[in-house]
Amino acid sequence: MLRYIFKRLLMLIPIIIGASAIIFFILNLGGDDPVMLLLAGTEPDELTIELTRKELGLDKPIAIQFLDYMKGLLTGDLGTSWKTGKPVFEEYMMRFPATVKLAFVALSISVLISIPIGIISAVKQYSLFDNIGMVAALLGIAMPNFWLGLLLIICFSVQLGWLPSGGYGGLAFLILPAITIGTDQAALLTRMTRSSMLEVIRQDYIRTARAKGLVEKVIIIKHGLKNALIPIVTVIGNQFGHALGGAVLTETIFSWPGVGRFMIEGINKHDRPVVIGCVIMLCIMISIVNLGVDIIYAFVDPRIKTDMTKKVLRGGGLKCQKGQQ
Amino acid sequence: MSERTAVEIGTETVVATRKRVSQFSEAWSRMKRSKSAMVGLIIMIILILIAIFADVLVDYEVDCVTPDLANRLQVPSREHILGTDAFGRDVLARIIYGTRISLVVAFSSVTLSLVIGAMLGSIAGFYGGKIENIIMRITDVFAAIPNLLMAITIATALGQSIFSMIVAIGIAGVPALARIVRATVLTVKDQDFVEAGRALGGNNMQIILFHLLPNCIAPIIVQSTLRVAGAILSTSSLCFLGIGIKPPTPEWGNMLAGGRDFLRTAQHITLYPGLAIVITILAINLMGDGLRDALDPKLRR
Amino acid sequence: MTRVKKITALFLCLLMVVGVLAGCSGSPEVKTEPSAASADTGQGEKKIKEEVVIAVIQNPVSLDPHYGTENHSRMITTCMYNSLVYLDVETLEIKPALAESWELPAQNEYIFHLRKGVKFHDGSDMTAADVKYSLERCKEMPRAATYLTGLQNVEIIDDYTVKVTLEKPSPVFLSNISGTIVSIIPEGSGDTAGDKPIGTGPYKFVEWSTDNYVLLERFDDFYGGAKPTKYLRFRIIPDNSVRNLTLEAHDVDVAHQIQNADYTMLKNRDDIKLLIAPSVIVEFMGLQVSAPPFDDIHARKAVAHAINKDAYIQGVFDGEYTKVTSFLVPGAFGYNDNVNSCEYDLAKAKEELALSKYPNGFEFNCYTTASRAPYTEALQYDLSQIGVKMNVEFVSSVQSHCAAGYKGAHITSVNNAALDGDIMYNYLHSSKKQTGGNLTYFGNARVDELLEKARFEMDTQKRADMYKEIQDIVAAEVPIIPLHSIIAIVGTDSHVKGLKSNPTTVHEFYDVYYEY
Repeated sequence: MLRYIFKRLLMLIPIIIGASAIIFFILNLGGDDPVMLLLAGTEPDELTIELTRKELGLDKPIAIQFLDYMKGLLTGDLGTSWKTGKPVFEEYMMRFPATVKLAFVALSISVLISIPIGIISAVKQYSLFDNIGMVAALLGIAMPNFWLGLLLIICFSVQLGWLPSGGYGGLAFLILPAITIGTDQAALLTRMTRSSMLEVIRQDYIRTARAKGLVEKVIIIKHGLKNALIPIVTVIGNQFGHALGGAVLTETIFSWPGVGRFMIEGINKHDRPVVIGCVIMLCIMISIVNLGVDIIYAFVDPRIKTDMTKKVLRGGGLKCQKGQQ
Repeated sequence: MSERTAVEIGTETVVATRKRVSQFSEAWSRMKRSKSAMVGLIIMIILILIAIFADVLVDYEVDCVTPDLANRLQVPSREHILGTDAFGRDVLARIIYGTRISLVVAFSSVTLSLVIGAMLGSIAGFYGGKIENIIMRITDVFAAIPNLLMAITIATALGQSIFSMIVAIGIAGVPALARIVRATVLTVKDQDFVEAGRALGGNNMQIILFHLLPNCIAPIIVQSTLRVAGAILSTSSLCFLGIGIKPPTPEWGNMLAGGRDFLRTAQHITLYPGLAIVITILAINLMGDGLRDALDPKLRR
Repeated sequence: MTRVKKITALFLCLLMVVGVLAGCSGSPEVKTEPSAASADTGQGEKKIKEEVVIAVIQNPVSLDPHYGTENHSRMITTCMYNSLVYLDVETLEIKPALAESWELPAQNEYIFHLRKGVKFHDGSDMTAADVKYSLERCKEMPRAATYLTGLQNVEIIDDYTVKVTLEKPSPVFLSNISGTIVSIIPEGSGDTAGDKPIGTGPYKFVEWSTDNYVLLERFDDFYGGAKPTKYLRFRIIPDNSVRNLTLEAHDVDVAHQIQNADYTMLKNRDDIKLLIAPSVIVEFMGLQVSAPPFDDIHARKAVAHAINKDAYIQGVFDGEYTKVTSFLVPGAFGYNDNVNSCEYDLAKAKEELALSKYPNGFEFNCYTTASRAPYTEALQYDLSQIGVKMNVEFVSSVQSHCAAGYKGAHITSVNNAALDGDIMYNYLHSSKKQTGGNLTYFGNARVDELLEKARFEMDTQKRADMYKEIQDIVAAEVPIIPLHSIIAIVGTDSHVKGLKSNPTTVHEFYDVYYEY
C-alpha cells in the first residue's frame, strides 16, 4: 500500500512540471511586453518600467526564466507575486481557508441533496418522483452556475434583503455561494447516483438477497448502496478537488476571498507566478483528493486494493475527470 | 483465419459496412421513440436556423450594436419584447445574434477537439506500446489542468476574438476526446475488418481512417454532442469573466456580465440571456442522452 | 423519457422565470437601522461611532508605502504615513507636514527642518536618520524611484535637520515627495514594512485579512492630534453592485466609487450622501501623426469636430462627467482655460474632411482597453455621421500595444495626480516616442523646447506661460482629442462627516467620523 501511495505521489511530479510548463509558455504567447501589461493603468515612465523589469527578472531570455522557475519549484518555492512582491505560496495560503470552507459546505449540500434523491429515483424508476428529479438534475446541468448565482443574489439579496450579496463572513455570507456550487455539483451527482444504483439493483446478488427474504430497505442500503458508492465517491472526490482549487466564477460573483478569485485576478493582472502557482496547487489538490478516495476504497474493498496496485505497477495513468466550476 | 481468401475478407468488410448502415437507421428509429430526445433535436434545429438566418431576423448594426441612449434599460414592452440593455439596444435582437456566435464557437471548437483528439486517440490506440504511452502521458498533463483554466489561459494569451476562443476551448477539450477515442479503438482494434483492411492492401493510416474510426463513431458522436454543450458553457463563462469576445459583439456571457451592474434596476438583462444558455444546453443534453441511448445496444430496453 | 418529463421541464422553467419576474415589480425593502443605535440625549449631545466601515474596490497591493504605489494601496497608506510635505489640492500649495519649514540655499538644494516630538506607531521618535533612510530606500524601490529622480544626496545635518541635494533644480520636487509614496518610515524597517507597517500617521495598522478587510486603529500620539474615529475598517468589495448594496443596506458607512448606474438611484435618498468630485484623470484620444490617415491635419481636425462629447456624456454617464479641452484639468498648474480646442461642429467637421486627403471618408483602427467600451460605441456612431469608420480594437495594455508601432488612434487616459503641467512631457516630447508615453509619435520642435525649459524653470509665472503655450500648440495641431475627465463618486451614509474627497481619487479618510 505504501508503495502504491508513493508511486502515485511520484506521478504528480511530471504532471506538475508539465502543467506549469504549458501554462508558462502559453502565457508568453501574447506579443505584449509583460512588464507593461503588469503596470498598465498606472502610467509608468521608462525608469519604473526598467527597474520593474530587472526586479522581476524579465530582462532575461524566456528559457532562462523558465529554468529559474523550475529551480525554485524543486526547492518548494512557488515564486513571488509580481504584483505584491510576496511569496505566492503565502498569498495562496492566506486565501485557502475561505475556499476550504466554501468547498465543504457546498459538498455537504450537494451530497445531502443528490444521494437521497438519486437512490429514491433509482428505486422508484419511472415514477413521478424520478421524472421530476431527473428533470431538475438536467436543468441543473444546463444552468450555468454563475447565472444561478446572479439569480440567487437578485432574489435573496436585492428583492428580499435576507442575505448579503457578497463578502466574507459567517453563515449568512456562506449560504448563497455554497448553494450555487452545491446545486451545480448535485445535478451531476444525482444522475450519477441514480444510474449507479440502477446498475447495482439489477445485479444478481440483489435478487439473491430478496429471495433470502431480507427487508427491501436493508437490501437497498446495505448491499446496493455500498457497491454503488464506488463511482459516486469518485465523482464526489473529483468535484471536491475542483472546488478546493477554487470555484472561479462563484467566488468572483460573491466577492468570496478564495483562491479561485486569486487566480482570476492573477490572470487579469498578468501576474504569471500567481497563475502558475494556482494551477500547480490545483493539480496537487485534485491529485491528493483522488488519491485519498482511492485509498479509502482500498480499505473498504480488498478487491479494489489488489486491482489498484496491479494497475499502477503496470503503469496506468492518473485519472482526472474534468468538471465545470 | 489465414486460410480465408482476400475476397472472403473483402466481403466481410462490405457486409460490415452494410450492417453499419442499417445499424444507423435502427438507431435513428430508436431515437425517434424518445420524446425528450426529439424535443432536444427540434430545439437544436430551431437554434441552428436562428443562427443561420440571424441577419435576416435582425439588423446587426441597427439592433445589436448602435447605442440608443435615450432608451436605456427599458423593461420589456411591446416595442422591445425583452427590454433594452445599458445602451438602449434590444435584448432579444442581441440574444438572436448571440445564438450565431455561441453555436459557431461551440461547433468549431468541438470540431477542433475532435480532429486533434481523434487523431491522437486513434494513433495511440492503434499502435500501442511506447507511442501510446507517450501520447497518453502528454494528454494526462493537459487533462490535469481544468477545462476552464486552460481555456482562460489560452484566450488571455491569444487575445480577445472568436478565433482565440475557438482555439482555447478546442484545445481544452482534446484530452477527453482523445481518451474516448483511444478506449474505443482498443475495443475495436482486434476485430476482423482490420484484417480485411490490411488484406485489401491499405497502409496503417488508411486502416485507421477508413476502417477503424468509422466503427468508433457511436461513442465519438455522443461525446462530441455533450462536448458542444460544455463548449457553450465555457464560451459564456469566458465571456462573462471578461476574457473572450467583448461588447459590442453580442454574446450571452458578456450580456450577463453587462447586467451585473444593474441587478437592482434592470434584472431582465440578466434573466433572458441566461435563459437562452439554459435552453440551448438543455436541448443539447437531451439530444445527447437520446443519442447515447439509441446508439448503445447495452441499454436497449 | 415521457411527455410528462417534457412538460415538467417547461413548467419548472416557467416557474423560475415567473418567480424572479414577480420579484422584479415593486421596490425592494431597505434595512433602515444603522449598525449603531441612535442615542440622542436630552441635551442634544452627539455621539460618534467607534468604527467606520469603508468599502473599497480592490485588495491593496502592499501597505509598504514605497511598494504599494497604486491608488488602492495609497488610500490606506495615507491614513498611516506622512511625508515631509503635503500638497493642498485646492490651492496647489505645498504645506508643512513632517517638515515644519524649509529653505533653498541653492536652486537645487533643500534644507528641511523637521517637526520635533513626532512619534512612530511603535513609540520611537522620528528623526533625520529616518528621513534619510526613507528617501534613500524610496529611490531604490522600482515603483517609487521615479518620484525621486534627480535625487543626488541626502545629508543629516543634525537630528532634526536634513539637507537634500538634487542634480538639477526641479520645480516639481516638492510636489513629488508630497504624496504618500515618499513616506517616512522608521530607519531599518524596510524589510518588514509590508507585513508590519509602521508610520507616523493618524492611524496605525492592526490587521489585514487578504481580500477581505484592512483594519486600522487610531494612533493617539499623532502629532496632529487624535482623530475622532477609533477604528477604520476598509472592506474589500470588488463587485460594483454589491458595493452599492452594502451601502444601501448600511452595512458600510462609505462606499468608494459608485457607478453611474446606481448614482441616479442613490441621488434622491435622504439617508445617503453622494460626494461628487471631478477627478484629475483625463480621457483622450491620441492620433498617430506620423502615418496615414492622421498625418493629415485636416483629417485630425475632422475627427475632432465630429465628436459630440455632450451627447455621450449625457447618454452614457448621465451628464456627470465634464468635457475637457486639454491634457490638464482646471486645477492643475499651467492650465490654459483659454485654449482654442476643436468643439463639436458637424459642419466644420465635414469642411475639414473635404480639405483632407479623404474627402469621401476613411477608416481607421482605434486601440483601447475594454473598460472604455461604454463610450467608444458612441464615438463610433459620431464619426459615422461624417463617413468616417472607426474600428475599435480592445487590447490589454494600450501602452504596450501602441509602443510597438501602430497606425490609427488610441484612447487612454492621463492621470494628473501631480496637478502639474510637467505631465505633458511624457506624452508630447519627441524623445518619448514609442518608448515613453508619447504614443501619438508627436514631435514638435517648439513644444520640445518648452517642455525641456519648463522642467527646470523655477519662476512660476514663466513656467505657467510655457505650459499655456504648449496647450495652445496642441490645440492647433490636434495630436490628441481631449474627451472628458471622469468623476469620482463616493457614497456615504448621511451621518458621515469629515470626508475629504481628492480629485486624484486617493481619497483621504483619516478625518472621517460618523455622528449620530
